[in-house]
Amino acid sequence: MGALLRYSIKKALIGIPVVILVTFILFLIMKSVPADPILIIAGDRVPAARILELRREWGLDKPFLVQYFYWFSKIMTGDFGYSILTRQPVSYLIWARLPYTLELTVPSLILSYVLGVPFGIIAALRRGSARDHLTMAVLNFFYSMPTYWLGLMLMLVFGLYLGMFPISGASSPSSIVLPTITLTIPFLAYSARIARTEMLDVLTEDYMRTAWAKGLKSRVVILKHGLRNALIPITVLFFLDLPWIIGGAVIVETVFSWPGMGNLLYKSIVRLDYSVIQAIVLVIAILIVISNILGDIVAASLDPRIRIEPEKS
Amino acid sequence: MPNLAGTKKTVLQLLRYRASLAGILIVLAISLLALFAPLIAPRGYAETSTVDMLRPPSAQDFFGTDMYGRDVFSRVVYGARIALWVGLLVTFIEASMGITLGLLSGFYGGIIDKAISAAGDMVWAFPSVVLALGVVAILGAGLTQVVVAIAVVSWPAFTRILRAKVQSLVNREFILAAKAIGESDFSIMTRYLLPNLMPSILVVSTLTLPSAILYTTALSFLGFGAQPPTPDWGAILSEGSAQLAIAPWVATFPGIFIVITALGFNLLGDGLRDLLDPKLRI
Amino acid sequence: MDSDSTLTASLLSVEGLRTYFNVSEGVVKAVDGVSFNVEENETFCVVGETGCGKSVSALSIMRLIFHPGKIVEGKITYKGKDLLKLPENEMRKIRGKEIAMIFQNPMRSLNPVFTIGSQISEGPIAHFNLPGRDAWKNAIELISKVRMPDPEIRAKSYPHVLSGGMRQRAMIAMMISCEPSLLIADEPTTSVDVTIQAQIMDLLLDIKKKRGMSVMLITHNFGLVAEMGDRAAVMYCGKVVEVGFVEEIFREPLHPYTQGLLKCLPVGFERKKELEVIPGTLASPVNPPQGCRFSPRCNRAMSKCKLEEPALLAQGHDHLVACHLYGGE
Repeated sequence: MGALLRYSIKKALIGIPVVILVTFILFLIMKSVPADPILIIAGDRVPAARILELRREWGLDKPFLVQYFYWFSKIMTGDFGYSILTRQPVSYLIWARLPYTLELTVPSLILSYVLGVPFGIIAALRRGSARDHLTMAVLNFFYSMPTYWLGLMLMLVFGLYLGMFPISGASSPSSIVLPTITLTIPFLAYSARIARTEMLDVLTEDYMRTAWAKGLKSRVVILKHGLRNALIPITVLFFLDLPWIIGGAVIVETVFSWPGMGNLLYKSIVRLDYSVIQAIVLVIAILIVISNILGDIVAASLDPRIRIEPEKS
Repeated sequence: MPNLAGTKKTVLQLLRYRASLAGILIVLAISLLALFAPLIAPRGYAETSTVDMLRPPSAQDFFGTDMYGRDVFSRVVYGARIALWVGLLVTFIEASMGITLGLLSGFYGGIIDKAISAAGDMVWAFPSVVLALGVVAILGAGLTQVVVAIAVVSWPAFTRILRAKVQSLVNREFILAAKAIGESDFSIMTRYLLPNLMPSILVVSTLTLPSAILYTTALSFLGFGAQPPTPDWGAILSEGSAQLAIAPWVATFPGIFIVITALGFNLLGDGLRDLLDPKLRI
Repeated sequence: MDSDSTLTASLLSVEGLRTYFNVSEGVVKAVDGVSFNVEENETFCVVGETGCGKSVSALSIMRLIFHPGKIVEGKITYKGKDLLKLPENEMRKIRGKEIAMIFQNPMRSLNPVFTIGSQISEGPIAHFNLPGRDAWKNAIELISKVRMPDPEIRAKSYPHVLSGGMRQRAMIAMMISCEPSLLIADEPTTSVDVTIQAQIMDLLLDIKKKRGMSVMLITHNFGLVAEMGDRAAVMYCGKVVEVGFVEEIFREPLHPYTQGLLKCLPVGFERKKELEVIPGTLASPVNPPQGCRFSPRCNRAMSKCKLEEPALLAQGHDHLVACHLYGGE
């Protein structure tokens, strides 16, 4: 366990400079955007005196790096400025919407892996059979489907024609059903594909042959020796997929008018609300760093080759 | 020299499997549709009509009409052109970037490799949709901008695969021999490495195209891609989503075509992969 | 006339084994009519070039042939039972417990996520229902028996930490854990340093002697055969071409292929002008030549050789050869 802890701390510490790097890159990009940064921060229709004040506050009359430090310290205190449209503080907007997005994405991700991985593994075990081919065909089908179209069709059938679920907003408890299904299905297809590939890879490894040669029961060979190894890359991918499901959420939230961060991002891009865009991108970047660290830690805990160095003999 | 006998054998084997056969047929059908769009479509894609608005599918309008009275079938047929054209363009850009960066990264290693890989990892870590939207936010909306955005977002995958391939080839005897003779790096890369990479390039390109189509139609759906009246499938879908309750056909049919097209290329790509490069991972 | 060796039944008797693989290029006849016996307490070597079918023969004995391979024909008698007719759960009890096998590439043959100790314990736990703690103690003992230092520490190590030689020892410990009567060793020293090779072979001989085990050694290294083997079978293209006591085969090789192989060995300190080679290349396993498979490369081939396959016939005491140059007894 000591080795794992050391590895985790090492990875977490590296994460900090990475986040700082990301904020710097974000700042660079923001500076290259064709818009007046002060308007970005202050919103429009602000008196000229206030603008001068803000210029000083945000250090825009100072050299580049100093500007960055001003901006960075503001970010660290959670002050992202104000939305150009709604005049509300950006941090407030994000705090209000983040729970909705999490409510949608986390269950979807878990569901898609919990359902998809067994599918993929069984397909790998029955490789070449009719069931395998059928599974692959179905997976391919859903993998080729645009998420927004799936959402619209589900909306059409279950929302409009059958009237089972509401098709937009988050007003009733069952509003979450259609968006969740829409988000889950593509990721389910994806995780099933990955699971199948990894399991197939493992089944052809030499140590499987050793396990058979020991005369172990086939359930033991497949589950203990095979699955345990296949699950390593699969579990790591689960964590690495966290940012990606946010991406999917952008589309799904937009289609279903679900009041989450993804929806906010879309609206902000349409109206070029830069302060909001910048904040959301930063949140996503932090999430990526965190999920990568988690993925690394999980990989190390499952795979001794990562956390233990070979001795120098 | 391309191996014609090998190509013929590959094609024959592809046809033996039902899945890849279906893929080939779909790809051919969509290509023909795109090629002969003006002949197949009964009306122009921008022909509006104030009389025929929102008519359901019938013998005259196979897929019905939209809110401007345009024939959805014709729009979808022309949409095939856009989809294939954009898909091929994006794939071409990605392949070019991927081959160049992959060759440089795998062949030279060291700092060049680290720099390219680090950049690739950072881009790859970001959800493509968000990143593409970010690029569009800076560049503005439009089909060309979308093509650039998608290419910018997706190059790491291609590069990473090719880099691995190059690395596996670089230490083989024939490359070491070429170096020993004193061949220039560029010559080695083009005359020896590139031909050996061709099967993988073909497979990855075939599998990249459907992703490109899915992404570009997604961006068009969100309103950042094709501008009206361009009949990009995603754009048609977007218009149709507003009238989903009263005219569901406008949104339904383009989607079906997207699925079929992407499926066709995916099936073909999977078949090619099984034959040419089974260990490839996407 | 029966030779004396059939009075006591062999430990393992392979008769007419055929194992084919169904691949897209056709049917690969990896093992095509192979027969030999392994007696109790002996080291039996199976020699031949890469691809001659020796590994597949071994895997067929263990019934570890998976799709697209299939054991098409044959009889494999072990302690009186025909292994090919056993139901799978009976065969499972034979694997590891009666007949065990160590493989060529120890790094890839050990599961990277389990400790050596737990992998060694698996066999006795499965076959003898040994409780975990006892199995672990047993594993530590075995680790010291295969001459690895610090057995308690080693037992908690993972495979990737060990050197090649140590991994091979770990494999041996795993496979002798249930005290099998026959240990099949498939090229056990090919991926190991020369110095370690000697140690490993020494260890195997020692274990064999102490436990009264038979060893079936598969190798392409004639040096090993000369040092360790009691009897040997030479295989070519899926068939056995010569079987007999090692001393006799070396002293008087009968089959032209065996003669050629022995001539190829760089022997002694004499500087020869050129190394000898056997002309030609291995025949295609999908489309083997008609008649004797070696005939295209044989410098003493007769017209009969290209038409009729020679049968494996006895020439004197326990020395069999499949060649038209020799009649039967």
